[in-house]
Amino acid sequence: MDSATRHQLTTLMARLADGDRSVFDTVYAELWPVVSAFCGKALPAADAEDAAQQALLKVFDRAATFERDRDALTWVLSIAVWEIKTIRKRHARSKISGLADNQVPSTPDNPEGLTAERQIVMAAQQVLGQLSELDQQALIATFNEETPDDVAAATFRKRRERALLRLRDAWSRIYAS
Amino acid sequence: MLAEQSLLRGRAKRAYEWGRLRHALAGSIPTLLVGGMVAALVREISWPLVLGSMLYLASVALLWFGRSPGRSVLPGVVYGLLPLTGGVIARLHGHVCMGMSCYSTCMFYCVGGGVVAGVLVGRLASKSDSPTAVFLSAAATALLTGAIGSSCVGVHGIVGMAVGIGLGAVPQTLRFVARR
Repeated sequence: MDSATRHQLTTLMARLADGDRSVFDTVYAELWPVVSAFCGKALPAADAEDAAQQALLKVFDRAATFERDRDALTWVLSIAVWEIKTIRKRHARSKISGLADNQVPSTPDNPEGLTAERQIVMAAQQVLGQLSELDQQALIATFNEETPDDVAAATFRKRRERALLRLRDAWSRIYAS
Repeated sequence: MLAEQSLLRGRAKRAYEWGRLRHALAGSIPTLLVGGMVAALVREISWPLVLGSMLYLASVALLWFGRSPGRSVLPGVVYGLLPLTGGVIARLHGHVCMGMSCYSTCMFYCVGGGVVAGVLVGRLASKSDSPTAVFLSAAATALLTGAIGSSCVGVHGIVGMAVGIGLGAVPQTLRFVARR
């Protein structure tokens, strides 16, 4: 972004902070590609889109507190950096607290293993119940190795990735401790 | 993709409005404190707190709206502190005695404070790009702030102060109209 555009963005952000809603669409159109590209460089595609969306929502949520003597682009990207860090931390945490394969042996002659497996299934069902119907459908279809006919493959892939992310989050929220 | 973008834009717009509202709610808290302090000072709860709450709501609405009306809230409240102080003084020392005769000072303080606030509000409005919006916003907040103090001396105190603000704004309004 060249310095003139950058300066213009700061002016527009200052107007938005002042309550001038007429510049909202322009600011949105200016920011989305910048934030999206910035997150795309730091994270894998699915996570990048989520991070960019969250960052953009936070930018507009805090727009009223923007100070006109600050550089808008630096301010926006610092919020994006924070979102990227949050997603990376979340991934690191879910790796630590996630259940490793074959952690619990589940053979018919091992009743303790069966009980533990049943508990995990029940826990998974409980976590699944916390998700939206759309996420549940996406996860069930993934489990059954199906692709819905009425949804484009790319859309379904994105939906599945987001559903998995939310499943991991819900799992961490409930069982991380 | 387009639908997703439009959905995200809608969410961003809502986030922006909620953010503004939260900012306005937090930024208006001092106006509640003004009402609380006056109530504690004059030991009367009802009117100062009712008017303080009205000032708070007006301030939240104006700050949320933003632009010139939002920027006029702080000066309006500050100018309104003049008639408010006058009203509180009138409540605590309601009369002045000279020799054998005593005079009630409440109307003097309320109207006097209102006139000074009105002059300041008029001056602020005449200097701004949108004088009508600034005048209405600053006068409303000054009136509500002043009314918190003037209510201690009754409804006539509030009316006197409102008349004072109106009178005070007249010279600036005339000057502004003449300039146009």
